[in-house]
Amino acid sequence: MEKKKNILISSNGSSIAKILSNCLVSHNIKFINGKDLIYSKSKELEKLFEKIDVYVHIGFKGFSAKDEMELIDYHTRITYDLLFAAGVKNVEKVISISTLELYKDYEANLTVSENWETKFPLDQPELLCANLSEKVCKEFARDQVFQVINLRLGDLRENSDIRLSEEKLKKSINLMINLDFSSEELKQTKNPFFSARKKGPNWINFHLQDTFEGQKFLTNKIDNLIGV
Amino acid sequence: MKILILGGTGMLGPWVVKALKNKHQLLLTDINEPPKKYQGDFLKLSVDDINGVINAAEGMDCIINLSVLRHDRKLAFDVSTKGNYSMMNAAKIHNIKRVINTGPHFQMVGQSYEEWDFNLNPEMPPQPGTRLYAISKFLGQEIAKRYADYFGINLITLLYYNMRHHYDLTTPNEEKAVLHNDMVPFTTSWIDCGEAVRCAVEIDKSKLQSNSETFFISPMTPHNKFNSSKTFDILGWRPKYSLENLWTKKIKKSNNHIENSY
Repeated sequence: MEKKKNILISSNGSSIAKILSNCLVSHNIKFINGKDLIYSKSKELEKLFEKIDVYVHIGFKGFSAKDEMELIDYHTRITYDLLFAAGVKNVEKVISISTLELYKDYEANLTVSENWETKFPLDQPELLCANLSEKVCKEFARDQVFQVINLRLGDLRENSDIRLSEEKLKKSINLMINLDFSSEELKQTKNPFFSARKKGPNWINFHLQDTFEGQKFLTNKIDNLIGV
Repeated sequence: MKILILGGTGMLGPWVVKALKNKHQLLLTDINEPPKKYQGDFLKLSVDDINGVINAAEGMDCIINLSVLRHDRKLAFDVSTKGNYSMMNAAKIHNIKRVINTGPHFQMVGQSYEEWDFNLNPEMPPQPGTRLYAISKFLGQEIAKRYADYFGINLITLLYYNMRHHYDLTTPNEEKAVLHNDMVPFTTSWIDCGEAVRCAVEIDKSKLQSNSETFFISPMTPHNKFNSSKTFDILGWRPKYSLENLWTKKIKKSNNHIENSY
């Protein structure tokens, strides 16, 4: 049986935070209450990450802002502050929650995989912010501060062409909590010199939607791991 | 051209004004007032004041962003990230088709590229790393690039490395430079840095291959660590001061950073 992890989730007010807490119920979960927190006080931020194993950062629709400037501030500066504090407290892994809607502007007949460049309309500031949040997380991973798993989620509502069931999300995210993704990436590498590579990449993307005929996004990568 | 300059009284602003003032109509903006020797239009404005920037941009043909604050986390993101959001929204709303953005080279080629030996070039995927200055400017650039691609705005980004006054090789807020000790091969004079902005303002659109083009602003060096050939070939920038000029020059005392500017 896997060990219970101490997990911190970036906000508690949003519907995605509630769904994630249902999914991670077998672990010890804490939330950041954004309203009570002064993000500029770095010592207080660091306290939040005491004894935390995994930080789940919601980069899409996890924060309610009064206007677009506040939304950008949360997904850039405050995200930076939170990740910086997580790094100081040696959090081992960050799960970034993003969205498949970052590919909204691709033609419907294309099959999009994890390494495609994102392409989205700019009339929804939430999408720009999800993109910015991913970028901040990625730089922390690139600087080897901690590992980051970036989950681009489908739509948790029923009638969507990128629908994602709570059941699949639960199975996937629980697997991610314990996944040693460096070795998973290496297994998939066919390079003859891969054994010389001491350390895997610190950043990995997974696209997550239900598997059904005509699904828009290729989900082999996650499906192979969870055994769909 | 009618040009709005954001962050115009900082380090680079005086040199940009010098390069542009005789051919273009400038509106200089900043949170700090310009010195008395500046004779043109000025508006006190912070770049993260989105409505203020939108209002100031009305009737302009071009926006130049020189603003930067790098030491405080909140101010760095307010200016370098949210400031770009203000600027690009102003360009979108007023149908301004040319925007010049500026920043440090490491907003693109950050720490993870440092060990690369040569041919760092402006077409590489950006890797700013987690340094505050680099990442806050990079996120601003990401916003600007998205807007440029989506709304068909010509975004020209100029990335600088090491800037020095051509009289005494100083740079503001740092200790006095010692000739031959404090120079790097990519040292560029402030006066040439201002000229680069003029080149970006005046470049013919047909020379730009995409809506978002980035140029390294540093003199050509034999080892080619930073490949500036695109800057020479397309932007048409030719620095008056090369490393050799600066290295062999006679130091001339200046009273402050803005001497011979504006």
